[in-house]
Amino acid sequence: MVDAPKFDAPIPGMSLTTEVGNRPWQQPPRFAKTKDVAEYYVEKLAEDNFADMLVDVAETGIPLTSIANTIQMNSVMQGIHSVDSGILALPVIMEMMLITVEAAGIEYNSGMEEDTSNKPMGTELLLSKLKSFSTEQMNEEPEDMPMPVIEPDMGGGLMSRRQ
Amino acid sequence: MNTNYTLDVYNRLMKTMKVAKPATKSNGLLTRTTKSKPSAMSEVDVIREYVSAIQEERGNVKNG
Repeated sequence: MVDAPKFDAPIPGMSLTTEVGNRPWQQPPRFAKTKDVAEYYVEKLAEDNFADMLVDVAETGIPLTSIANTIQMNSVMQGIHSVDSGILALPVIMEMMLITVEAAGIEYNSGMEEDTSNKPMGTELLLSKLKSFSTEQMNEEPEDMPMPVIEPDMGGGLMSRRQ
Repeated sequence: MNTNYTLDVYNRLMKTMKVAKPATKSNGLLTRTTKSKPSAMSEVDVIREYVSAIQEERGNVKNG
């Protein structure tokens, strides 16, 4: 299926609307070392304020993986760490969130379960379906088709021979 | 386009955490006894340590 066009993409040239270096992510990050980034998340995600907000959001059924990705992207945009440090810190964020929601005892969607609804059919399943379909067709006896009755041409055209 | 790599990164790290350490060989006469220099920790090692520590804590929380 062809993907629908996306209209939420940035406008071409949007990044040039300000001087280079004005944005926080164009500056050197606050934490350069992975250890510092991990430490930052451990401290931040352990705050009571954050835990309350996380529990509220997780209860709505939003996957924790999406929340973790949003958190680290937001920190990149604020210039706290670089993109690669954020990607590396993702497991730490996930674990911290898991510990919070499990301690709260709520129903949550971790986002780590395999979603089979959007997966294409497996090859084996597809083959078995094809096989059963073809055997069904082979077993079916052809119905007696009524022979079409061909009526004699009466020759109603202009050039037809007159009788 | 998928821009959420959380699951992939998490699963990959978990896989590397589950890898069992190779068994140490018995000390023969020709076995080198000097210890190799401890190599510097990579960035992934740092994350692995943090994750294992949090997981341990998570287990403690679960068990009450």
